[in-house]
Amino acid sequence: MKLKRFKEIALDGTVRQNPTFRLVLGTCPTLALTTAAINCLGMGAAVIFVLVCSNVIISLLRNIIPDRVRIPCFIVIIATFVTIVRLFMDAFVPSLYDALGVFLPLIVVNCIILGRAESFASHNSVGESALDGLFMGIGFTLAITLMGIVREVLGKGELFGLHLWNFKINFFANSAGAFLTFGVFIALFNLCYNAVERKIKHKRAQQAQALAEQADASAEQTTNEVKEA
Amino acid sequence: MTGAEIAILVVFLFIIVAQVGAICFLLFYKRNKAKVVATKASQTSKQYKNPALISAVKAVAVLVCICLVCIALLALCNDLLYVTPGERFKRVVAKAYDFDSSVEFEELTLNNEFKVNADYGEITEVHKALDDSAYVITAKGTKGAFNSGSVTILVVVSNNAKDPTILGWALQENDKQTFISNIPASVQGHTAGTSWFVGESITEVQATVTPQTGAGKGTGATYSENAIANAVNMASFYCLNALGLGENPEGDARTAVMELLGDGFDGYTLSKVAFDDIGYGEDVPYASKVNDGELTLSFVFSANGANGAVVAYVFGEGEDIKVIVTVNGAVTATSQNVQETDAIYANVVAYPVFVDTQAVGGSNIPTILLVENTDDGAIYYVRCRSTFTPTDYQLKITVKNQDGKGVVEAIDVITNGFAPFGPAEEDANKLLTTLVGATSATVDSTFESGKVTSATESAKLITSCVKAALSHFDADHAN
Amino acid sequence: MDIFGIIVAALFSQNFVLAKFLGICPFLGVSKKVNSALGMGIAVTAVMVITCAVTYPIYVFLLVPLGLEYMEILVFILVIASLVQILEMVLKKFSPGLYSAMGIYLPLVTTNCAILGVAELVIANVAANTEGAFHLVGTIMGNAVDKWFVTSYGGAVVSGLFYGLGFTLAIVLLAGLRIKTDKLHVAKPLRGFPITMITACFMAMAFYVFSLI
Repeated sequence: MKLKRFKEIALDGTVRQNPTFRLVLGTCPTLALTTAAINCLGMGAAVIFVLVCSNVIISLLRNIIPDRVRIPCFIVIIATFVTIVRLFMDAFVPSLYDALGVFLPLIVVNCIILGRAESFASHNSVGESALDGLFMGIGFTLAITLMGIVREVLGKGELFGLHLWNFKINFFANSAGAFLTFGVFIALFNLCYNAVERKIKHKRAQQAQALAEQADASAEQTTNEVKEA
Repeated sequence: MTGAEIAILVVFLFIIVAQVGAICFLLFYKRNKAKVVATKASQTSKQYKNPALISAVKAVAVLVCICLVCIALLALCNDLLYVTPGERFKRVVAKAYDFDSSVEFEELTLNNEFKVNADYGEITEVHKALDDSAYVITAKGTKGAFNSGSVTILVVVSNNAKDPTILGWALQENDKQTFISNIPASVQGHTAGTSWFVGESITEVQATVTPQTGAGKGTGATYSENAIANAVNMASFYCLNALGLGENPEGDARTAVMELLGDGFDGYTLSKVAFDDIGYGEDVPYASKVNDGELTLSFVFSANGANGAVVAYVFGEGEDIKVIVTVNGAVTATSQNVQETDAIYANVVAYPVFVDTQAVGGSNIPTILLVENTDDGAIYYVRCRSTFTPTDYQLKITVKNQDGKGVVEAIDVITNGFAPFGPAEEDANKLLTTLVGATSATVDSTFESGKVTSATESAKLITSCVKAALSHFDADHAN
Repeated sequence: MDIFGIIVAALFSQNFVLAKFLGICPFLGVSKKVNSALGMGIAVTAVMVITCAVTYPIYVFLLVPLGLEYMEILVFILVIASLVQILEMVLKKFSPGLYSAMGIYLPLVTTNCAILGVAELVIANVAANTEGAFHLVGTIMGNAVDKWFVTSYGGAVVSGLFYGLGFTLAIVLLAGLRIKTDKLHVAKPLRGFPITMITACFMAMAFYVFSLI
């Protein structure tokens, strides 16, 4: 695979099409689980696993699955992997299993996963689909963990379960705080993203301009040379 | 069920489910896409007679295949990762107490008589550690406010016959407890110092944590605390009564009294009479108090029902308790170790405690403190206390003998329980005069006519005292 | 559980969107106009009731006796998807007017976590109350309405209905608010989702008060 394509998928997944902040998908777990950062990591891991596996399988089967039963097939495949994650967590990390609660089975209907299956995995090769799943998952995990850290520090005075100080604002641990934090995060992300994008555009434009000037100059030079000759 | 059986069942089930789903899709899409598919198919393969159907069958086949593979995978994973109920239970217990990992648990059948308590809640499960070290009790504490929500907790109690203590506890479930998150993990478990209740004897918990005040731990989740305290109390109540842990003199005494009462009194609920209410320990000679000696009064119980008012006196401690039961003031049964010549027997006969249902909350219990027989009657010193604000009346009641029945001749106040608010004192104590001339037959009607509004409690206490004196006099002069 | 408790909890203190965070996607996505929000809310309510009514017996009579609790996700999602399709077909055939009003939202409902969430919650109740099957038998045998409400099958269906109505309430309220906020001059980065989130934040604060009762 070309490095350029790899870069493109990685950047798309984590920043340009960040599922949480740019596409605003998978909002339910984002709002519900960000009270503790460690839950976010657990949720992220589960989502990455399901996303990569389902993307790979769907990509493998993309030529076999008839178009009309596409969605039920995707759902069955996703539900299988979610159940596997659920059984696994129940057996080995019961505390996380309890903390994620109803949101673990609800990964099935997380729009990120079905969305990626529909829009990416069913059109692209296995390797690219796996990468896309991985980076989309990482983008999701990073986003919710960031929110989780902010809400945990402000709402509970703790970080990853470690006690920091006694100062806490209960508002951020409540449901209203979740909406506010999420809204502010999207706004900040958009702000930064737009600023960076504008800068890049500007730079590109400058580069293009410089190139054009150079071309002009060289053209002038050649004409001069021609004249001199 | 073995893995193979499960797999077969699963396959069966899913063929059905997938077919239902497939038929739906087929029906739904037939109308929309039949034409498209038909033209497509006719272009590629003209030999099929019904291309739409063929393609539908293919779609269903793929869906079913995918389902089958997924099911097989899941059945395999479930076999590998299945968590047994025993393991699951151990996991929950681990939050409450560090058992050795090799310890297994056995579920005990619940004792139906003690598994529910109106004050505390109920017991849902009891497990015993098979190394005999402890009991794990799953108790549901009620009165957690909001629509009478509840909290279910696990309580680990050491299996120590004499002095069982609480080893640890953990929250398991809650119903409608909005602030349950205020109760942190650090107060649960079994850490000495930070965990609540840990190290406390179960009899102590019974005494110190009452359903009314809750645990008073100040987390901000007062009602949830209250429910937790109730659950702990429920667990210790069950330990004391059903599991036979710890010394439980009150429970033993209750059992002895109920045995003496026999079958006719099945529906009776014994309530404990506070010694304060019957004047025990005061300087005034008290009815059932034994001065000479070794025996002391341990408990007085009262109960009311169709067969009359029961008052039971329990003397002494442990195995050798002596029980005297009176119904309507007359001794009806005694335990075998009580003789009619005993001082306690004579005292109970001479100065019984009465139970009068005429009370605001529960029963008024007038106590006859002293009886002085006179030529034509008797003088009674009677005391009656209330839990409400006129608290304590002590009256000197002179009773005259009229054809073997007592008639009130005079009522004097020794201690006036009147609290200075509402009506004037003369009004509140109006019954002191209107009751003169009353007999046990007319006491109740005099109360109805002679009481003063807003001084009902005073009126009730006075009437209770007079009733006690009159019924004692009548019983004394009947033979 | 008493019926009034279910209603208050499902509508306000345990509101599906604002307290449980289920069904946020349609809550944010289909709340631009009051009419479409109402259509979505009614579609969700209808599917929730059907889901509760169907998944409960499937779980109690099929999965638990066969020891297949681990299949619940797969079975539920397939059953819900089929049901939604059937409902859509039925509406299209017999009530084109209703179909044009709410039919377009039905496919969206299938992959809505509120639906699978309500199924999971109902199942959690069943797991906590193992005599569920006997309640159902009692419900079928006895005709009294009050019996229907207090038994857990009736309770499951009723809670499905009121969770759905709670969702409708929240989404319609948000749509009403968004009509106002969309006209305001909001700082550019806050336009769109962020300002909607902040609006939802204030709604959540208001609904939170009900949980203190």
